[in-house]
Amino acid sequence: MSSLLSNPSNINLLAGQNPYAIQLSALTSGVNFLYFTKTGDGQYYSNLPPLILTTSKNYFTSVSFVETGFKLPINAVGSLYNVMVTLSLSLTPMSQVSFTVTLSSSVGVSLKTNPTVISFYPGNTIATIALYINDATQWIVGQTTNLIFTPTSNTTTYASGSSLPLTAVAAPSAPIITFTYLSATLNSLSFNTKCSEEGIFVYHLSRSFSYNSSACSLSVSQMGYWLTQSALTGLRVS
Amino acid sequence: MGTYAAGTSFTITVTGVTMPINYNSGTFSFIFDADNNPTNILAAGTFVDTISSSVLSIQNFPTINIFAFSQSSSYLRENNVKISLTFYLPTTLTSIGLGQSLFLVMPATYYDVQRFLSPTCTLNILGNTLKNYVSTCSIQGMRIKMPFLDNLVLGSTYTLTVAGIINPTNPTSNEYRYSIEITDTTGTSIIAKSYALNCNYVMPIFTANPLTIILNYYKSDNTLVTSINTMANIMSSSVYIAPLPPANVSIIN
Repeated sequence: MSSLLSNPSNINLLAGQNPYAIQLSALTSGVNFLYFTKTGDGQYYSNLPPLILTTSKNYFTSVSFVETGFKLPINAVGSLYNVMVTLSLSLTPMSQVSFTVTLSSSVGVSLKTNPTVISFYPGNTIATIALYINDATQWIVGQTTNLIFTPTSNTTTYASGSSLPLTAVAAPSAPIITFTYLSATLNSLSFNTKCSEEGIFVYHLSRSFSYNSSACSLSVSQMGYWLTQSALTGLRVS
Repeated sequence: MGTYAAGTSFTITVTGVTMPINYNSGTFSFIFDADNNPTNILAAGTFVDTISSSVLSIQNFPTINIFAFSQSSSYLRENNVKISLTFYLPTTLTSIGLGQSLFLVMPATYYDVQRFLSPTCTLNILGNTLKNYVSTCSIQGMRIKMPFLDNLVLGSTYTLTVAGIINPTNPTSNEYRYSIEITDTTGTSIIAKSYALNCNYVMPIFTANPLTIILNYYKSDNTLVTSINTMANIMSSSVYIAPLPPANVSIIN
């Protein structure tokens, strides 16, 4: 089947390897039988059965994003904003699909690159759109416009494009972040955090071996080695 | 539908019936009853198909008897399996040879793997492997087509060997058997075929190889996957290749 698409593009599962996710599709609609061959293990594993892949034409589902809209603060002329759109997980394309992004009306905000072209493909479901304020007298609180997403060419991947609203909001003050530690156990950590302005919460967790400074530089395999040792010489794992 | 008084004649017409591929003999039977209780019926009878003679002339092909059969493996999903059928061509057949084709009709249980076969075929007079009477063999639906390379000698016993078979995926009834057909030069009209009832062999009972670990496709929640549905160019849900039993496999999505 020439139009078959897979993710990963090269499916080569080795015996003893943890199974990994395989996703399939095709550029054309239809019913196809797939047969994965197995080599090299004698009779340790059975052969795989045929797999039926049914691919339908997408007449009805438009492209859609996780985000439902964006709030852009009012600001001085030339102020830059980047908004990120995330493709809905169930609509990830198997081959690249591109969209031309335009604004539905000129209300004081403009695309930095006009028109902007964004692309989605396996492993890339997020796109950034750069905007700037070109007329602060128009981009006032309550002003709205829409980001219009139009497929760059005739495509059967989605029924049509989509749009997301942009809304002008009051300029934020300096954000105030509060952090309150609550509790920590061997396998849990609890805390409260709050920001005075709307934003995205990004967190990072790490673990340090405070009783053994050299342990932090151990590789995963080295840690695994120490875990198997009965004599805990220098690395205490709890 | 309706109510008929005793002694009234009426006609029942049954339409849409598909004619059988072959015809032997037999009668139709009917039952009259006034309820859905099958333990007691009011009346029953039989009648003979009045067009049986014309059907017989059209559908009753000369019979080829298969009297020996072997299959190199009866394990499910095995590949590179070889089957061998030995049959006799009676002298009552019309001449068979170059331009005509031999077809091996596979049992229905091969429906999902048949398209993936890459068979190699040989047809020899029994005991003489030096001369092969068929050329390339190709998959045509549930059949394997083998054009003849030379005229066959009627009154001889032949052995057909087909290698490169993939055994069925799952256990099924072993009632359905292989059969062979010989067509005219058009490849569309059958001039002789074998019938399961007249063939002295039994199909293998396909079982899983006890030494192998069965692989299948699963979702992340360990449910078995046999088919995937998606839209054109849209990534399907994730499937995993993992061994049975799924309860012993922990897949982390």
